[in-house]
Amino acid sequence: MLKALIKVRFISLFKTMFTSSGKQKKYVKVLIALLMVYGFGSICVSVGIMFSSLAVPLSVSDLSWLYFAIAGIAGFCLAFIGSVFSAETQLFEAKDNELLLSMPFSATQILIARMTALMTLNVIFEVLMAVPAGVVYIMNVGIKPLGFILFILSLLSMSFLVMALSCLLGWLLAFILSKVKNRSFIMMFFYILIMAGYFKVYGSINKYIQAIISNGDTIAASIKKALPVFYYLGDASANGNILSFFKFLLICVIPFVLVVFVLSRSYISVMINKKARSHKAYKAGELKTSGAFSALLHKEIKFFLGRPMYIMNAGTGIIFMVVIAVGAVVKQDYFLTAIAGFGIPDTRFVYPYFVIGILTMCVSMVFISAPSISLEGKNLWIVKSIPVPSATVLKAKIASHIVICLPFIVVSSVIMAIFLRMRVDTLLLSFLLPLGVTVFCAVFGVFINLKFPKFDWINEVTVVKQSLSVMLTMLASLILIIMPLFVSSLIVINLFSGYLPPLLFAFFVYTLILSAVFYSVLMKKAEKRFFELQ
Amino acid sequence: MLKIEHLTKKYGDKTAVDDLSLHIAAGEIYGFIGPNGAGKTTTIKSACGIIGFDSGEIYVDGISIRENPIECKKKIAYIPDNPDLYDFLSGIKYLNFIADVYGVSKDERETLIKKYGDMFSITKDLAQPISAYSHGMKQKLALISALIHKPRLMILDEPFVGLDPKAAFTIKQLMRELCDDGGAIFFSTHVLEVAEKLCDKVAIIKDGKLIVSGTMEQVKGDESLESVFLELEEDYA
Repeated sequence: MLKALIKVRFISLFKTMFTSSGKQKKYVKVLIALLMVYGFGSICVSVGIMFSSLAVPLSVSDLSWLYFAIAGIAGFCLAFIGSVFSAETQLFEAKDNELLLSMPFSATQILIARMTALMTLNVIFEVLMAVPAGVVYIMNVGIKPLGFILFILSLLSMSFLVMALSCLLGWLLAFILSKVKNRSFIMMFFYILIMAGYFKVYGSINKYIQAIISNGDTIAASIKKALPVFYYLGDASANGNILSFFKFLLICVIPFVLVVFVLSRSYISVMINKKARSHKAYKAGELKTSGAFSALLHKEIKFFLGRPMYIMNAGTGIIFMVVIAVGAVVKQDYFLTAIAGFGIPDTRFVYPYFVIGILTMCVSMVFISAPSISLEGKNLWIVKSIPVPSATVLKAKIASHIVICLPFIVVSSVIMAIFLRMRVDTLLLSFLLPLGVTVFCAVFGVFINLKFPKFDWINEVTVVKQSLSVMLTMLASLILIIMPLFVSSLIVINLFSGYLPPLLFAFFVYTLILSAVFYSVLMKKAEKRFFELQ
Repeated sequence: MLKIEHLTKKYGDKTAVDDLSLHIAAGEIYGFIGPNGAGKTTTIKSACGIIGFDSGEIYVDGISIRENPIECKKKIAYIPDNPDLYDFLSGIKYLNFIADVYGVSKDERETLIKKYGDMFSITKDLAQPISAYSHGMKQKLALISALIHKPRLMILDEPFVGLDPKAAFTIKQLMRELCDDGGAIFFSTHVLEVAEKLCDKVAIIKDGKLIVSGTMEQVKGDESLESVFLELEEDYA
């Protein structure tokens, strides 16, 4: 029975990126494969570059174990961040919880089936960090065959520890959320806290690498004392120490078993209690009226704001926008160093444009509209039965994306205008360019989701995080806008310094033209295609 | 009010509805009966403009649903077999959303929400999120949302499922009132006793094909609708 449950979970997990019909053309499958190779490849290369500066110095200092311990810590952190919020939604918020509880499955079986799927994702996250680190080490230093095997086994075992901790935090989150009214706020608070920690570490990664190289012994002693689990991982991998591996294995598996045991006791009650809310009696009052478009727009915005998981996965870019804008003011030196890293001599002159570029990149990572049609799910009948043209329904989805982003774009521009004393044209660009990209992402997201919808999901999080339309929107904004913007800006800075504003204005116009093209195709096909959705 | 002419709908190789013709006149409550998978929901969804069809034509109050779906939808209220509503909205916000979409005036929506909310004993729960509603409460809310824009034609897929006896009685009364005012009701059901008492006309469908249709007397004669249905089921097996 457990096998059947796990099988269903995996089918659900991997089917998410395919459309509802399940029939996809060959080119789409090739596109997905290329997209994945590109995504994985680029992450692996950047991680490899990071670790390449550590391999030889640590090996020479006889601290090879520290190298693998750091790779383990990095993999652990990435997997933990990747799964902590999924754990809350996948374990406690899945739509089939009640169905499964009515079947002859024990709470432990349901829990293990869900955890197995999540652990697979954890291993993928760990692989992203640890494999490039391992390859770099083998290429630069070399590794014993036994050490290599133990490294791989340690990675697999580590997913137990990641799962145990993320489940525990997920359970805590679900428990808190079952008691409070403002779920979105609490979720966002946790999310921002974790992401702030992540970016703090990521932003200082070069500093940490230098610190590790220059103070390897001290850091090694600290890790050995404070995080012995990673010492065992490092020792097993670098020296092929089987005893250390077993110690590592025990430290990973015991918490997992304990968490499964504890969670399975309260699993049912957490799932049932999450619906217990205080009853507020309705008092008839004046109702606000609006037109159909406005009603649809409000519905979209309300849906977005009521789903912390949606905000966290599709709207992170807009939160980062404000953080970057503030950072650009208070951490100018950090940004100036980053600009100098591109070989740009006049960093002061380029500074505001560089920040505008980063802000633009942030909004290009907002995918509110891309899963919006799929998210209609079983409610699709409502928008299909109301007397409103399909085009209006789609326009509301596009508009909601723009309306949600707009305040953040304005706030970022205002912060920069006040503190960076920008020229009028630059100030205008700090507003227009992110706005143009936002419009493009909003239009393209709906355009692509109408082509690749997916309605038979069990958990919304999978549609928002892993669906094909989200991945393609991400790719489109990167290939069509961000990369050309970055490359052409570098060329213009080096060859024609001073001509950045016209280039950025040209890009703003370009984003509008692109948006207009996709919008026009979308509107032409909207009625027919939307009508065919089921 | 609703004219279905030679409707055919296929899903791949399977013909879900095969050359079906029905005519529901104003003032009629028309029952639509058939075993599971007979093609009732497909017919209903086609009539509401939710899904397309391969051949045939559907007219709502003389307007083709294929050519002018928006005008048709303005006259229709549809309730699916499973009331999946926006669970992130409260009951009142959902009703207000529907009222906005159908352009119901402020005064009218306030009056009608109060009226139907009280009739279905759900007014006090309207501030609650729909996610906290039971199946029956969602069904009541879906019925209210269908009634507040004063449809000329109500198309209901299994409307009595999940309703408590009082709500079931209320909706039957409201269906009759709507027909008395010149509207029409087309609904599917498996509750044959209800269909027998409530419907002016009835159609029985099997494997996408119409087996029999007509006034209740024509279809059942002196027998009960249940026995006629079971006999026809066997004859067409």
